[in-house]
Amino acid sequence: MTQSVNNYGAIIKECSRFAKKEICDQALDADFISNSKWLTSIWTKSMAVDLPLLPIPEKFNGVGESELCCAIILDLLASDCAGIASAFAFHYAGCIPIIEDQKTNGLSAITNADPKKPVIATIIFPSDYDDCQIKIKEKKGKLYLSGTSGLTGNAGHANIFTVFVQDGASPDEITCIMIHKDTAGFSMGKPGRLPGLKVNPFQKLIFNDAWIDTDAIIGQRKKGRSLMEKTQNSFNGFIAAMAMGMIRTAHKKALEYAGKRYQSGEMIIHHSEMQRMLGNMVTKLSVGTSAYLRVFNEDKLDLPYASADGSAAKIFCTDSALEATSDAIQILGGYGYMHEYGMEKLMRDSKVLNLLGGSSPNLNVKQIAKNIQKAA
Amino acid sequence: MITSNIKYGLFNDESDLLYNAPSLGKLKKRFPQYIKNAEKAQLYGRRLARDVLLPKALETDEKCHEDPTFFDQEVWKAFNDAKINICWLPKEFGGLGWSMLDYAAAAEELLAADIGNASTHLFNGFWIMAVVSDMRLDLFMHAAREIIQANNKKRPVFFSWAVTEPAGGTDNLFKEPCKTGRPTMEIEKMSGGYQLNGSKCFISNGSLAHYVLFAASVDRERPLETMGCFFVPTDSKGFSVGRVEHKMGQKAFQTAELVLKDVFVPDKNIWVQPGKGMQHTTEILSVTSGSVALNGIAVARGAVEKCIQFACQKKTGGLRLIDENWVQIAIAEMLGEIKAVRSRFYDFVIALDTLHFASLMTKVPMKLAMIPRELLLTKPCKWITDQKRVSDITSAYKKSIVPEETVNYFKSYSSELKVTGSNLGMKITSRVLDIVGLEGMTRDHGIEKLFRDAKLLQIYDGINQVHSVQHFNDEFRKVIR
Repeated sequence: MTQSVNNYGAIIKECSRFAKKEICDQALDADFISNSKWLTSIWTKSMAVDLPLLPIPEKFNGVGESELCCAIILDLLASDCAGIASAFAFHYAGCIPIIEDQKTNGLSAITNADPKKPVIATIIFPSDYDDCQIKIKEKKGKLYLSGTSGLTGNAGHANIFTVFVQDGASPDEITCIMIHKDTAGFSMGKPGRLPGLKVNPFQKLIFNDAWIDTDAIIGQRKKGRSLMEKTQNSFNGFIAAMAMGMIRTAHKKALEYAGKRYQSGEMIIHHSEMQRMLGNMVTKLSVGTSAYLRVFNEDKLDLPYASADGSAAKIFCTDSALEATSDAIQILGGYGYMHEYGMEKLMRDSKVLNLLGGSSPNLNVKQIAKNIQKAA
Repeated sequence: MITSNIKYGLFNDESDLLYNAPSLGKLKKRFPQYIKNAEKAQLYGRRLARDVLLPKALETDEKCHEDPTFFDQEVWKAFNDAKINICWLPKEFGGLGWSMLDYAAAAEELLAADIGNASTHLFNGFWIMAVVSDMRLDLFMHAAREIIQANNKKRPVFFSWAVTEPAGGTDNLFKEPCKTGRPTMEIEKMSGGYQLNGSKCFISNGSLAHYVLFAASVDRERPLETMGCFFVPTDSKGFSVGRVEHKMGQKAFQTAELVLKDVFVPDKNIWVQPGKGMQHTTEILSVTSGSVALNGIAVARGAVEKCIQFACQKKTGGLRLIDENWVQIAIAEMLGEIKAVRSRFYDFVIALDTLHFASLMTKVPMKLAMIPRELLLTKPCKWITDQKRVSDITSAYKKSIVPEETVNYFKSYSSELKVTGSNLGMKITSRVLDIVGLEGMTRDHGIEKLFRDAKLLQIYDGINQVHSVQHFNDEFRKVIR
């Protein structure tokens, strides 16, 4: 594992430099006004370091890095701004089915885009709610999409939408479709307005008999379930990775403050309760990082009794991030609650990550339900 | 107006006080009027919450995000008309004559609707604790007169309490941290008073205040032994409001930095003499910290009520979310936890009514002091109450009713409740978000606001960890060697 992570040393360094220069100092201000235009400008700049092309194979002029590498970079970006990182996570996840299917038009569109007009992807999975369902209709041999999606990250600035739709009575019948922003009958709902990841424009997608070319179908129609599960697994792994980036920052800021804040005759870092909280962050960081790395490296440690499940890693990592950021606010006291110190943003962001792709209890329920379905 | 077809919580038209806190039922048999009044107060608060606070909660939160100094005049007017700011005062003074139980029953409703806006007005009642601590009649009457006149003239008057100092957090609130603290305020004895220099931070209502009570130490080398309380009208020369903070939640509850540059405080405005400041602070905390638990209960129930509404509307696979087994169990568990803390909190409230400052309101000397409001504002009355001897008598009497041991007992009780209640608020608002998911977390549902609001409860009025240490020391130091 260490070796494979070290392989990414150069990319990590380059992305760190980029994040420090472009993201770090502006993240708080952008969060304050929910500035998604800032995200667009970061995206344009990120093209100089090929960030949007990270998972795209070299033969399509991409960087050709693994999903593991993407996750590590998301961890890194989230330590500066989870909102920005989440935009890349949605993009990378949106690219996965396209890459799997070697969809030339989609990949070329992304790699050959004019930096001033970047092509950004996002991912849409079937929603839990009955009023947020997308259906495929067939009329005179043509396929149309209708319905509304759940809240989707990147919606406000993406051009390519990779949509998984239940295509039939059985939840096993899944079709994956790549839709372009300009598709007739396709529009956006109102901004989602979440308390965290605020620079990422979350919206619902509305399909009103949007005609889809058969060429837009990724893989085989109704046979996309395993591709969806694979993509979901990676997306959950990405979320877990971002949660770890946030714990790192929370820990760093809290440790720094605890070393400077004097109380009861000593710096509070000498108080054992502070040490417990800071130590707990380190523990969660250590276990959580291992968990998400394993999601993308299962072949290295394939244990039949404990599969490297993305949703399990996501549950552990985001629950941990919420706990860590909340504790970090306690360490900073009043300063932790004020916007300008950046800690409260971490907590808001971590709660959104916690719910992204399904809340922890919801995912636990789904996890078991899925297995029952498989057994049946 | 926001309506709901689920007649539960804020939308229940009947009082559910006894249902929520069944132990009050026992009291109802012996003291029917005490409970009846509280039930009335609960509905009074609920109507105000539903009609005034709830419809504006999100809009106000947004306005305050853009401008942290935004103050909603309409809400203030409604609270002023409802006499919430003088609810503590006896009816003879023009107040509502509320007991602590009445207050708690009403406040829970207001806080559940919008904790930020409600806190702005409820915290303003803090002045009564500040003056009742020493029960100096001159201070009590001065403050009472001021607030009654303001109520009559329909102009806001705000009192604030400034303790926290930059880099010192809430060290000044507690004996141990204060003893070794490093305060930054400089206080110099001058002829006829004191001169104050320095700043206080994170002061609730500081930017709205007309009067601020500064708890600060005269000798920075001996902060605990020399702490006093200095009453400063905010139009004093040298007083200014610094930054008004951008907070994560409770945005309508303004938090400001207060800056003092050569502010002169005459002797008559020394509310608590240097040396007695910590006991005064402890007495205030012995009530306010416990009351933070009510805020926790309120955000928690506010979140659960919104969760039930959301889960009744949302369907998943043909089933309503509320019909899901895990959701029902989660809601039931949360309600159980809320009721457990509420029960402990109402015990506290009844104890305040019986043993603490609130008991003074029903004692004979207070009744004698319940001069009709027409007389209260007259000069002869002011002359009598300004006499030092009169204040000495009332002060001594108060201390016989609420001795230091009682205050110390309540301080421990209050710390315990503060931690339990605020943790409840955080835990439940977060768990509710887990149920409603990303969609329920969007701004319009108002649940994410409760989550942001709840976090402050673990921090203000003394960070939870310090309260827990205090609670431990009070409870166990005497038995563990």
